Formats: sequence, structure tokens, C-alpha cells
Amino acid sequence: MSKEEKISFKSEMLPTFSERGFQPILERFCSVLDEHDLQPIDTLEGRSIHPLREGIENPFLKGFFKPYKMDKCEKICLSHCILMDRILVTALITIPDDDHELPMLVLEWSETENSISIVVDFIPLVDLVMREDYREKYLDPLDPYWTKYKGLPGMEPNRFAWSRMLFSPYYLSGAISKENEQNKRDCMDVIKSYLELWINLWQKGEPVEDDATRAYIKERKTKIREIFRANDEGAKTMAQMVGQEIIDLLLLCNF
Amino acid sequence: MIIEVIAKGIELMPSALPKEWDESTVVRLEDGVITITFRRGGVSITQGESPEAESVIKLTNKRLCGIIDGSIDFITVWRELAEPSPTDRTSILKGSGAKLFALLDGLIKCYQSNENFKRLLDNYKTRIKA
Repeated sequence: MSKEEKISFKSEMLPTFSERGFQPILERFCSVLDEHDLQPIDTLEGRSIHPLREGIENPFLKGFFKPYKMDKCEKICLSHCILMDRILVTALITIPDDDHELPMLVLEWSETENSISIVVDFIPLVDLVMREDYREKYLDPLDPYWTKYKGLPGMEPNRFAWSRMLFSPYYLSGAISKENEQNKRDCMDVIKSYLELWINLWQKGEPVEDDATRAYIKERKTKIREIFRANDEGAKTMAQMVGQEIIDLLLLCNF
Repeated sequence: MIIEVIAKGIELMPSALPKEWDESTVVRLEDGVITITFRRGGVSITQGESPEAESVIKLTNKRLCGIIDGSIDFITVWRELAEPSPTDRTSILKGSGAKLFALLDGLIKCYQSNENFKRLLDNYKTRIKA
């Protein structure tokens, strides 16, 4: 195997795993995020997440989970790891702070030798039935991208009802074959489009003005976090392979 | 018999497993049932179903061969065995597929690196096709 390739990001050197033939997805995330001020987070909910920041090297899991503080956000977590030497999983999850009702950004990329699975969404932090203005402001701008990419071969509804319950009307998910270059380009473009749009909305984001809205956002984020942490089936399986402690920290970083 | 192929793979596979594992997984295949036991960093295989096994998994012989030789995309296997829908009990009848993954990982590596094991599995696949 060739030497591990690394890229520079925020004064760190991150392993890309691209020497194994995976797409440059980490490079894509970093090229957008590098323009913004991100401060590393070392402790979450009173626990040190240092082991995951520095990187895990386990027979079944190799990679890193790096949460950062960013303006208007509680945290933004960039993770990049390989499961069992065969599945590259790269994710970017941003959780706005209690003063901002921006949607949560969820971008997940899972790649093997033959296919790329993606999940992309802006998870709303309000009840959309009661807040049509929210949909118009934060979610409807996704419509051109959703319309363009929903027909990619392999796109399908997410399997989990608990996920679909949280998602916006513009989520996309599916497993796309790597059999042609266009498919790979389209997968990269979906991710880039959702990320850049979210950054654009984030830049314009204004703090909410009333305490009731702030309290609702906080409560809803807590509930979303609980749902993710309790239902992630892959995390439950991984816990049996690499240990519950690592997986607890991993879920803490992501959600 | 597929069970003989797996037993040979276990004998040859390069993976070292966590020493603290002490658990059994039953795999129900078309031509029999096996219990795979993970203990003190090693793996052993016995014919029959151990009632104490923590997990029970059902696979067809063809599917198991396809996982090992890579003709089934690994992410499909991951979804099916590691991230099953809570309402889908097609493959995982009890417990989880976590420990089985460790075995599959070892068998896949063995298939990729050991010519004898590759020949054994390929010959078995040819026989089930016929």
C-alpha cells in the first residue's frame, strides 16, 4: 500500500485515504471550510474528546472526528474514517447555537470500491407547518439542487423512519454506482451544492429575538440529538467491535 | 460443504481479534448450522446451533460466498448486517452482526491473499452454480 496522503487544514495535517482510490471528498469539505474561522473543541458535555480529535487506529475503525466552534454554531463536526479497511465514511454535521434558527446541516458520504452512498439535508429546527416562512427562507433555496439530483440512479428514500421524521422535504439519500465518472462527479456536486448553500444562509443568519423561540430551538435540538444517539444502528454495531466508550465519544462529537 | 470452506478460511485467516471477546454467533446456512465462537483473540467453529449464542444470523450459501469474494458490495453487507432496519429480521434473527463482521473481514482478506482458499471458494461456487 502506498504512503498515506495528507492535506493541510487549519494548521493540521489530515489523512485523506485518497491513495486507496477514494474520491477527494475531504478535500472538498476542507476547501470550503478553510475560508472560515473554526476553533477546535476539546471538551463536550464535560468529556475530553481528545482521542477522537487526534485519530483512532483500530483494526475495525481508522480516522478522526474533529468538532469545531464556529460563529453562530454550537459545533461543526468534520469526520473522516475507514470502516474495516473497506468503507470510507466522511461526514460534516453542523449544529447552530441556541440564538440561531438555521437548519442543521447533515452531509454524509460513504464510499466503497464500487459505490457512493450519500445523505444530505438541512434539518429544520422549527415546525414547518407552523412556519412556512422558515421553509421559504431556509429550505426552498435547495429546490434547484434537489430537483437536479433526485433522479440520480440509486437515489432512494432513507430506510429509517426515525431519520425521515427529522428530515426536511429536500433531503436526498441513496447509493450511487461508481461505474461511470459522471456519477462520481454528480455525488461530489450534490455535497458541494448543499454545503455552499448552507454556508451562504449561515453568513446571512441573524439571531432570533424572542426567548420563546430560543427555548424552542434549544429543546428541539436536544430532542434531535437524543433521537440520533439512540437510533444509530451502525454505531450500535461498531460499539461491539471497537468498544462503547469510543462510540459514545463519536456520537457526542457528531450530535 | 460451505461449512468446510469456512472452517478452512478460519484456519488460514490473518486477522487478530480482540482478546476480550467472549461470544458466540450462530450462522444458519442452507446446508447446515454452525456456531462461531470468539474467545481469547481466536475463532473456532462447531457444527450445530449453540443455544447460548448471543446472535443468530441467517444467510444463503451463495450470499456468503458473494460477501467473501467481493461480488456483493461491502456497503450492502454493512447495511444488511450492521445497520438493519429495526423491523427487518430477514438476516439478523437475534442479537447483532457485529462479531460476524470480524469473521467476514478475515475471510475476505484470506480470499484476497491466499491462493488455496481462493481456489477452494471458487470451486465451491462453481459447484453450487452447476
